[in-house]
Amino acid sequence: MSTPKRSKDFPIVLAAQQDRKKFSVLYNKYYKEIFIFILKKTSDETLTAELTSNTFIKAMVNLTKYRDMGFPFSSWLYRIASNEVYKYYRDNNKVQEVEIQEKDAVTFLSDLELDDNSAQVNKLMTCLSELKEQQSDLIEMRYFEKLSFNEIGEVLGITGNNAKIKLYRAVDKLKKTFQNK
Amino acid sequence: MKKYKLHTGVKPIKLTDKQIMKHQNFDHLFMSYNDLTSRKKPPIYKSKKWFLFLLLVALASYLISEFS
Repeated sequence: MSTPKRSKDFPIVLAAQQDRKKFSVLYNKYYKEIFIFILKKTSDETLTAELTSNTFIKAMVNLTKYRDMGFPFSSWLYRIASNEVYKYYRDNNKVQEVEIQEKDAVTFLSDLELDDNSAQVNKLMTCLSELKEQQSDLIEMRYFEKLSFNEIGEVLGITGNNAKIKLYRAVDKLKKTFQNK
Repeated sequence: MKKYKLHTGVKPIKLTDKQIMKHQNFDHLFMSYNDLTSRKKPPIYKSKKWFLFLLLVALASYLISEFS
């Protein structure tokens, strides 16, 4: 019988589950990464600092619930951070504005084999806004942040292949919405 | 809810490591964690047993003071 695949951080997580002071190792290791991830979504330094703190506090509180499935510990933190950002915008009735570079939007339209004139680009923005949160996140990560499937998988806590399948479905949904408009 | 829009030309906010690190403070985080998780001792009158005990003491002192 093969032993389950463990992430590199497994021993540190185990130690931190016993003694929360040892969580400092994980905090110091991933603070910058998570801060930048949230900053990209909020574009506000103070808010980012607050949401990053909330992310790590939630991770500490729920650390006993964490199960190592072989993905890096950071993928769990990314998921908490995403939820924190989502919760912030929902609780404050605010709309999260995501800015896309025009050249990225044009390239994306060409990848989808759609016309890439400016009217279509604006239509794309509307269609993206109508997608489910997780689907638009996938498209953002792949096409605008240029992450690999494995990196997306790590963020979402799924395999690279699974990320590929989910992205394919999200793109398909987007295409259908786009063509029906 | 998300709203996608085309980049308006304003450069996205980029912070230096130093700017990011100034927010990094594990001691503060640990304090917040302790505040959040440590069970605050309930006030004595909120415990049923203690409330009855205090009531009896008060009643006894009242009776003693009245009839002595």
